[in-house]
Amino acid sequence: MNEPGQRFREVALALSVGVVLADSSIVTLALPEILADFGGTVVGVSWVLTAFNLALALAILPMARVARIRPRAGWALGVAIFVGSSAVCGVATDEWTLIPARILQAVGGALTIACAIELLARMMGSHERAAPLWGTAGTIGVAVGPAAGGLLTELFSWESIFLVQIPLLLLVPVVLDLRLREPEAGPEGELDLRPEAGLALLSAGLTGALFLLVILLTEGWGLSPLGAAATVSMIPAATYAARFLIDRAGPPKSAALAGGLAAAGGLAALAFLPGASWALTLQPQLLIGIGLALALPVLTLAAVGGRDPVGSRASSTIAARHAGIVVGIIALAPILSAELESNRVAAQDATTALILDAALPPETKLSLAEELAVGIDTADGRLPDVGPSFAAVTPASGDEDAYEELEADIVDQIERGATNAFSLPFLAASAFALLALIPIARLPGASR
Amino acid sequence: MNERWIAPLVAIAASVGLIGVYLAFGGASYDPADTADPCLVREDAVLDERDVFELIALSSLDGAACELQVSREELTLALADEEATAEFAEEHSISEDDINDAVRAGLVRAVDDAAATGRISGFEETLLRAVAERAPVGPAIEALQALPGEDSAQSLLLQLSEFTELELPSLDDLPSLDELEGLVP
Repeated sequence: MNEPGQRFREVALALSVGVVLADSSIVTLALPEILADFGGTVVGVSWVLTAFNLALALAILPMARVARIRPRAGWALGVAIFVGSSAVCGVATDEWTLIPARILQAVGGALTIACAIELLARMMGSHERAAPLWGTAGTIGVAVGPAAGGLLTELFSWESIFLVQIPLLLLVPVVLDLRLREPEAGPEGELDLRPEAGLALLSAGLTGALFLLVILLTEGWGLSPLGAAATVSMIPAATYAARFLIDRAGPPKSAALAGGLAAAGGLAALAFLPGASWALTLQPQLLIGIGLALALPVLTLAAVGGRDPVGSRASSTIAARHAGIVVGIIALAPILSAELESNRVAAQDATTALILDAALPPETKLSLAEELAVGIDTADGRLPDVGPSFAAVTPASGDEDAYEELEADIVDQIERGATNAFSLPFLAASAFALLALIPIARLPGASR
Repeated sequence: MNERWIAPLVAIAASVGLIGVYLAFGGASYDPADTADPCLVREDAVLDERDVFELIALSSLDGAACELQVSREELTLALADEEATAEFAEEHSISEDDINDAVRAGLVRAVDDAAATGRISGFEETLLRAVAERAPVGPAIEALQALPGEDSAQSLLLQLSEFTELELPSLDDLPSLDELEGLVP
């Protein structure tokens, strides 16, 4: 089909897929801000992320059936539901509004992306031709999600993440006047659970990399959302840069095994960080990114099974990935929460010991302890910034060095506590990636 | 080597190598420092730097923490205010009286130790013993820790009056130690 504007319509459909799938990760960097606004717990606020991915995983396959019958109207309705619920998310003042709106957003999003592959297939002639554009748009969306969310949160507020999606509605008239080819004929490909399980487990591990790393960088080490966004962009950057390795990694199954091992190794390395520096996270992220570059294409192709006449196999890979994200968050959030509490106590005791044993006059220590108590209260459950507490007390003449040393030691203990709290969750995320090796090993000699 | 094993082996080598480097640089021990066992004697170098009243406060915290089988730091935070004390008591299934008894026993032992090593004597020792045996333990510990550099019974009295909201007279106004003991709650 060569009618004018076809390319523009293809881009419009791809854009809708990218925006919807970006929403699966876009709030990751906003979670600390949402937690601060709404209060509650890490586990509770993680449902802002979980609810979307769970609803998307559950809704995508039924929506693929709808897409087969009414793709154009389905897409427009999906976009309308997605945009409308995004607007509600943007004005939500508590989690009881935000989380239901996120679920509705995911249902609309599922309809949008399921219809988008169908519309693209009918415009381009086949699902096989449409799949690369559809898949690439989704991958880019998921990859840039955290960075876009971090940028918007830092420049404006977390609410702006949802409000900037409203102009997506402008694409509806562009797509509604599409002239479509007849749907492809042919039987639906048989569902193979092995690659789907591999995708789900790797996604669960990847969730660990993104969800945990973002909270560690922003809440544990005090990086700005933008700084954290730039740091975690290492994974998609590495995945993109390493895509050529797939042709040099031997048979597809070997490449997928190597990918699973590299992702598991990178996640395990994050559990053994020797310091509180964003730079130390880059090497493990590089390994995870390379791992995903090797494993995801093999698993996706094995799941879709080459030709996909009705597009439901493509949708099933989305379901598997998002189910994995949900499993990852549900499993990791309570582990992180428990580890944060035990490390908070350990860091608090270590800090108290430092103050008690400091070679400073007792009145200085008492004044400092009072200021630190105020700082902890003000932090309202988040990690306190001890700088203002130390600045509020003036050490006696001659005690300046000991005072500075005490501040550095206390900051070190807090950073140790924050970093150590993430060790066990990262190991759990690594275990998910290792478990993915089981279905990968059971793949037939997958074709590339 | 069979071609299909090369990529997985490279991935294993890269992972093990990176984890090994992180472990070599302390990755397995990057966690908060452990607190010292309150039942063990602390290093002289740490204790010698303390003024005598602060030393007694720290020593009594160690003794009480040892008896309650908690860390000195946990007990210090528990004594910070009444709410923290109540939470600590509930968490360890003990009464607030148990905590008071343990801290008082620690205070008395710390005064005994300081007297035995010759760091206090005479009026100071009598005053401290009276505080250890009769003053509310939280304010007593806080007063001992908060004393300005100069160690004097007068400072202790002033500090204690601040924490207990009692109006205690200047030492010069006290006719005898018996009267002083009567004033300490």
